[in-house]
Amino acid sequence: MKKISKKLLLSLTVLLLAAILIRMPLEIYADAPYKTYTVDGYGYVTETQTAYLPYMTITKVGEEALNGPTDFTLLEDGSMYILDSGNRRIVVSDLEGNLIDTFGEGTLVNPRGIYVTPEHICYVADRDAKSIFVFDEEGNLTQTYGKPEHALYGSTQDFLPIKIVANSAGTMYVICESNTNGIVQISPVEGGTFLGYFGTNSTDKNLWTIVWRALQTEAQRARSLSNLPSTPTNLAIDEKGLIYTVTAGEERETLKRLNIAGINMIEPNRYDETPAAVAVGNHDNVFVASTQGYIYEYNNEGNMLFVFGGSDVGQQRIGLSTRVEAIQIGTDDKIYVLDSEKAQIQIYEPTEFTSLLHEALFLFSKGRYTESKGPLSQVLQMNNLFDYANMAMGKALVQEEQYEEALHYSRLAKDFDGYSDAFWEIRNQWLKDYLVPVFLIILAILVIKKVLQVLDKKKGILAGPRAAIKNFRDKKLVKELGYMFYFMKHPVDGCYGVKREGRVSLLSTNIILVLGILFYVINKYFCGFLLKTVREGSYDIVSDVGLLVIAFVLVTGCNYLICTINEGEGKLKDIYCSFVYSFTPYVVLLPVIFLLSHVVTYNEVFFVEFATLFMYVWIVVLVFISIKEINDYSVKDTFKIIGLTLFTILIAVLLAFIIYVLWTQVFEFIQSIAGEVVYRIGS
Amino acid sequence: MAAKIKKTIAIFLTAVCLLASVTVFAPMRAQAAQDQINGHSLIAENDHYALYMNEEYLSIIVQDKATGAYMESAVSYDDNKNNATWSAAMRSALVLTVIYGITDTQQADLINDEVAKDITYTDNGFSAKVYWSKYKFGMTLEVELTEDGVIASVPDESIVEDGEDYFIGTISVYPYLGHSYLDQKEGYMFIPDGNGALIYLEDKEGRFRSGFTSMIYGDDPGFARQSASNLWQDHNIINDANKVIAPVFGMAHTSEGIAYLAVVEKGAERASIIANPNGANVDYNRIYARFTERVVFTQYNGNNSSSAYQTAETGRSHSDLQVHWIFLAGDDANYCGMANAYRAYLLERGDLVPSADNSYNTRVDFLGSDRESWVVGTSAVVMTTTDDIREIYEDLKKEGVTDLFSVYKGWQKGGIYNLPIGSYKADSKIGGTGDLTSLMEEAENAGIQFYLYNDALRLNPVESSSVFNVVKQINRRRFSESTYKDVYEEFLYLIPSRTGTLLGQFVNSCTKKGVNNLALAGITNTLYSNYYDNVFYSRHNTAEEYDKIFGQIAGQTDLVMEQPFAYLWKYTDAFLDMPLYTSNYMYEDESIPFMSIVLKGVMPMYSEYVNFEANKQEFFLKMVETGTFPSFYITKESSSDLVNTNSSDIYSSQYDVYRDTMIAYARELAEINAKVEGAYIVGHEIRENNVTVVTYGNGVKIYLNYGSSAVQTDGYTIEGMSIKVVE
Repeated sequence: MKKISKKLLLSLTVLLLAAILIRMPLEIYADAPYKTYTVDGYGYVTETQTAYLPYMTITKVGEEALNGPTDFTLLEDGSMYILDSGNRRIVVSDLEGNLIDTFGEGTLVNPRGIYVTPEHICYVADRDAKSIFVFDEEGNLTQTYGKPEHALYGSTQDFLPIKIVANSAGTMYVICESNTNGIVQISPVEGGTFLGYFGTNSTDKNLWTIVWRALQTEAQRARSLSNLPSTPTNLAIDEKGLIYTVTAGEERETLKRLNIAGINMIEPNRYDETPAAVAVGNHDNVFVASTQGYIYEYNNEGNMLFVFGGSDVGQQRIGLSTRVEAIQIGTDDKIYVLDSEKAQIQIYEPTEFTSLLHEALFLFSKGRYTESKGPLSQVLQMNNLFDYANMAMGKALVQEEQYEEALHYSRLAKDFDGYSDAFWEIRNQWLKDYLVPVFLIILAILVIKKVLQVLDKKKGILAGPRAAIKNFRDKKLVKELGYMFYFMKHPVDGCYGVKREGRVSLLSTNIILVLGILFYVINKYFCGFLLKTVREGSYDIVSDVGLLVIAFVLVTGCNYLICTINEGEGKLKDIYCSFVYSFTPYVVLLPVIFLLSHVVTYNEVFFVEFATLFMYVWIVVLVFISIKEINDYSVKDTFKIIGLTLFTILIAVLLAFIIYVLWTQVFEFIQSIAGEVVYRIGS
Repeated sequence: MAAKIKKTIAIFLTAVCLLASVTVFAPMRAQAAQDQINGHSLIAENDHYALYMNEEYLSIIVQDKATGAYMESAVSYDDNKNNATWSAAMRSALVLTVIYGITDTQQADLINDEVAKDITYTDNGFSAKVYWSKYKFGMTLEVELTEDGVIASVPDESIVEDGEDYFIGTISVYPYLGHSYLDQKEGYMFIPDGNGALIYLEDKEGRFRSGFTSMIYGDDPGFARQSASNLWQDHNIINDANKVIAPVFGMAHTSEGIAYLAVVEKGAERASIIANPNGANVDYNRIYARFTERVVFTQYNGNNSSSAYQTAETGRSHSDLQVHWIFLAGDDANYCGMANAYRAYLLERGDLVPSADNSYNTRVDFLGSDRESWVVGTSAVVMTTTDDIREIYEDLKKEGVTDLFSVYKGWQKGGIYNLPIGSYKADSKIGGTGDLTSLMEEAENAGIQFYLYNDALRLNPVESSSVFNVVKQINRRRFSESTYKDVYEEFLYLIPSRTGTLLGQFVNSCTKKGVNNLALAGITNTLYSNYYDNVFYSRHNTAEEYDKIFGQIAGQTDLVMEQPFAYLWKYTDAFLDMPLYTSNYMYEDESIPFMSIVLKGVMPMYSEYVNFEANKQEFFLKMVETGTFPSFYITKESSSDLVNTNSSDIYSSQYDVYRDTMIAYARELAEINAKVEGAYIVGHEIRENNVTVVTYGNGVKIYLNYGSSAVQTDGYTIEGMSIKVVE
C-alpha cells in the first residue's frame, strides 16, 4: 500500500504543482507593518497616517519564477517588462502577474538595466556584454550599441552599462559602472553617436580637502579617491524629458532633477544615503526607494511628503523589503517595488489619505488654489499636523486674501515666507485702519505734555514727582545702575570710574548680568516668529543659563589669570564689573530689537539684523577697551592678552574634558567591579 | 479572464483532492478497527476517540472513531531528505534543546539519545518517566485521552536536572502532532496572530525559510534586547507585530474532516507558538508549543558598560507544562469550529464570564491633558475638560447618539503621563476631582458608560520621585521603554507588588468617592520576568501576581481592559482595542476573525481608534465582520496643540472633525448590531469573489463585499465595499 500511495502522491504532487504554478498572486487586507513619517516645517520627522498599504505581491509571472531580477519598467498600458537577470531574459507581465511574453534569451549576458518606451521599444543595458541591446515590440533584437568610438569618451574608459533610459527622440542616457564622468549620452544616429557626458556629480569640496590637495603631489592627487565624483546609482526620465538621478553614498544631491543643460533643479529636505532607484509620479511627485526598503515620496520642490517601508531582517512581513533594486509608479498611483533578493514585485496601494493629498497636490501645482482647498482641508481633517498641507492651505488662503487664517496655517507649517507675506498684508491693513488714530493719540500725548509743562512752570504742579524721581535717582544702587549708560558712551572714563572711583558695586553688576541673561532667554523664546531660531514650544532654559554663566566665569577667570601674570593692574572685581558693564548695549538694545522683531516682515528684516550687528560690534569694542583700561595695557598688549585668554580658555575646556573622561572611566570601572562582585555573590 | 482561471483552478483542485481522498484515505477507514496504525498500538479509547501509542518514540495517534480520520505525532511518510537530527525531531514525543555552557542549539530527543524509559499505562493513556543518561536530566510525560481530545503534560516536579554540564533549554511536546507533508493534505494551520491567521497546507515551493515563532503573551521585556532598525537612527519605523493574546493554535485537515484546537493550559507564560510551513528546514507543515525553561543571555559588566559576556540562566522556570488538543470533526473541523470550541472551553472553565451587557455602544475616548516642555519644567496642554465632555455628550444626544462608552485618558493630576496614579485626583485644569465625579454621575444617569483610564504598569521617572520597585531585566539592568518622544524619553515598568499597592490605593480612593468604573491598561497586556532583591521572578510569577491583583479589584469595581491577555478575560467587562488584522507575515494566507468569533456575544469588543486608519471604508467593513464596535479618540482642542507633547502621535482627534463620522457610524452600526445582539458567530466563510459571509447563532447572515464592484451571491446583490444583512 505504501508503495502505491507513494507513487500516487508523487503524481499528485506533480499535478498539484502544475495547478499551483498558475496560482493567483497573494492578496491580503491588512495593517501595514511599518509606520509612515513626514517632515514638518522645521525638518522634524513626525508620524502620519499610513500613506501606502501593501496591496499585492507578484512572486511569479505566470509559471515563470524570477531569478535575481534587477530592473523593470511599467508602461501606461499596464504591461510590465521585468529584467529577469538571473535567467538572462526579459519577462513581460500584466499588472496581476500573468505572463504575456518572454524574450532576450541567448542575447543577454548580464543585463542590469531596462527601459521601455511607450511604443514598447525595449532598451537593455548589459554590463558583461558591454552593450546596449534594443528590441522591438515583438521582442526581436533590432540594434546593438557597443562602446562609443569617440575621443571624448576616453579610450581607456571601459563601457559597462548598468542603467538606461531613452527620451522620445531615441537619445539614450546610460549609467556605466566605474565611469565617473557622468551619464553617457548616446544618439541613435549612425549606429550610435556619443553626444557627451551629462549630469556629472560634483566632488565634495571643503576647506580641508582644498588645503590637503594643495599639499599633495600631482601623482598623489591623481590617486586620491575623493577626487572622483560618484557614479549615479540609477535614473529615470519624465514626460518632459527631464532626467532624475539618485546617487548612493553622497551626503548631498543624492536626488537630482536635471534639466536639458544638466543643471539640478531639486533639493530634497531629507534623503537616504543608499538610494537604489527613482521614479516619477503622476502629480509632479518623485519617488525614491532605498536599498533597505525605505520608500520616499517628494513633491516637485523636494519636500519629503512621506517615508515608509523598511528592512526585513527575518520578520518576513509583507511590505518590508530585503534588497530593493527598482521602483515604478502605476497610473493609479500604486507603487511597484522590485526586490531582487526576494525575487518579487511588491505593490503598494495609496490609502484614502494619500489619494486626497495627491489630488490637492495636483490642483495646487496647477495653480488652482481655491479648488485645492477642498481636498486640502480633508487632508488636514485627517491629520492637522501635516505641514505640507498646512503650507499649501496657507498659500491658497493668501490667494483668497484671507490673511488672518493664512497666517495661522503658515505658522503651523513653519512656512516663513508664507507667514511673512500674510503678515505684511495684515500689517498693511492695520496701518491703513489705525494710522490716523495713532497719530491723533501721539498728538494728544504731545499736547498734554506741553500743557503739563506750562502748568508746571506756572504753578509747579510736578514738583512733588520731580523730587521723588530725584530722590530715587540719588539712591546708591540706582546711581550704580545708571552708570551703565555712561559707561556705554564713555568706556575709557567709565573704566576709570570702575577702577578708581568705585562707581559700580558687585550688586549692580550682578543685576545687569541677570538682566542680560533674562533678556537673552526672553528674546530667544518669545521673539517674532520670523526671527525665531528655536522650535516653537521647546524650551531648554537650564542649559541656556548654564552655558552663559559658565562662559562668563571662564572668560572672566581666564582673563584675570592671564592679566595677573602680565602685569595687569585689574583686580578680579574690576575685571568682572567692567566686563559686565561692557554688555550694556545688549541690555539696552535687545528690548528694542525684541519689539522690532514682532512687527517686521522679511522685507524689513534687515533693520533687525543691522541693529543686532551694531549691538555686537559695540560690545566687542567695549570689551576691548575695558581690558585695555582696567589693566592699563597698550593696544598691542591688549591683543596679546586677548589671544592668551582665548588660549587659556581652550586649555581649561580641554582639561575639564579630560577630567570628565577619566572620571567616567574610573566610575565605570568601580561600578563594574561592584556589579561583578554583587553578581558573583548573588549567584 | 483571471476569474475564469481561478474557477478552473478551483475545479481542478477539488477534483484532485477528491481523487486523493478517495484513493489515499479509503484504505485508512478500513484500518479504524485495527489495533495498530503505522506502528502505533491502541492503548485507550472512549466514545469519540482512540489513542494509539508507539513505545519507542512515545509518539501518539489520535483517531476520530466516527470517521476513522486520525492525526499523527510522528512522521510516517518519510521523504528521506532529512538528517538524523531532523528525523528524530519528526518522531520523538519530546524534543528538547540542551544548554551546554553557552551553546543552546543542541537537540535532545527520545531517538538519537540514550534514554531510560519507564512507561506506566493508565486508564486513559500512559505516563512515561524518561531520563537522558548522557545529559543527566529527565522528566515524566503524561498523556491522557479525554472526551474532547488529548492532554499531554509534564509536571514541574518531575523535571530533574542532576548534571553539572547540561541543562534543559526548551521542551516541545508532540511538535509534529497533526503535521502534513507539502500539500499532501488539504487544510490549514491556525496561528493566533492579531485576530487570527491561517497558513494553508499547500506546497510553499520553498519560499519560506522559517515560519511563525512568537511567545505567548508577547516578548518578555525582562529579556528582550532593545535593538530596532530605525530610520535615520532615531525613528522607529517598524510597527511591532501583534502579541499573541491567547495561548491557542490549531490544525485542520479539512478534506479529512479532522481538526484540533490546541490550548496551552499550563506553562503558557513562558512558551512560544511555532508554526512552520513546508520548506522551513523540512517539508512538513507543523505547529506546536515550545516551553522555555532557560535561555542564554548577555550579562553586562556594569550599568553603562558595553563589555559583556554570555551566560545561561542559573535556575529554570517552574511551572507544569500542559497542552490540551481539542479535536473537532465534520462541520466543526475548521477555524470557526476552533473558535467556537475555544469559547465553550473558556466558558465551561469559568475563564470567560459572559458580560451582562452586549449592546451596541460607540466608544468615544477623551484625552484630558498632556504636558509640554516649558521655561521651567513642563506646562499643561489641556485638550478636553469635563465641561467639554458634557458639551460633546449634549451635542451627540441632539443627534440621537446616546449609546456611548467612554474612557477618559489623561484625567489625572499632571496629565496622561504622570504615572503611576496613586489616588483619585483629577487635574484642576480639566475641572478638578469634584467636577469629574459629578460628570461620572451624570453620565451614569444618562446611561453612558464612563471609565477612568489607568496605565498601572508604567512609571514616569521624570515625574515620579521614587524609581525603586521597577523592573530589572535578567542581566540586572533596569528595563526602560523608549518613547522616541521629547518631553518624557522613557518609561519604567513597575514590579507587580508595587502595582498592586498603588492600584489598591487608587481603587480605594475611587470607591470612597463613588467612582466604580475603571479602564486598565499596561498590566493587561504585558508580562515580564523580573529581577528583584537578587531573586529572579519568571513570567509565571508575574502572571500569578497580576491574577491576584485583578481578582481583588474586580470585586470592588467594574473593569474594562485594553487588549487583555486570555488569562484576564474573566475579569473584564469589555475588550478594548481588539486587533482586526494580522501582523502581515508573508507566510500567512488568510486573515480570520478568530478572537472576535470567540468573544462576540460574550463581551463587547471595541476596535482600535478609527482616527488613525487611513482606509476608513475598509476598516468599517472589518468592524462589522468581526462584530467589534468603533472607537474614537476625541479632543475638544485641535490635535496640533499636542505637537510638542509625548502625545504627538495623535495627529488627528478634534471633535469637530469626527462629529459627523461618529454620528453616521453610530446610526449604521447600531442598526446592524441590534440584529445580532447577544448571539454568537457560528459560521464564517471567505468566498472567492471578495465576499465574506458571517453567520450568527440566531440565523442572521451578514454579507460583506470587500471588492470595489457589485457582486451577486446567494441571490443577493451586494454593492462594492458594502454590507448586506439578511435575517
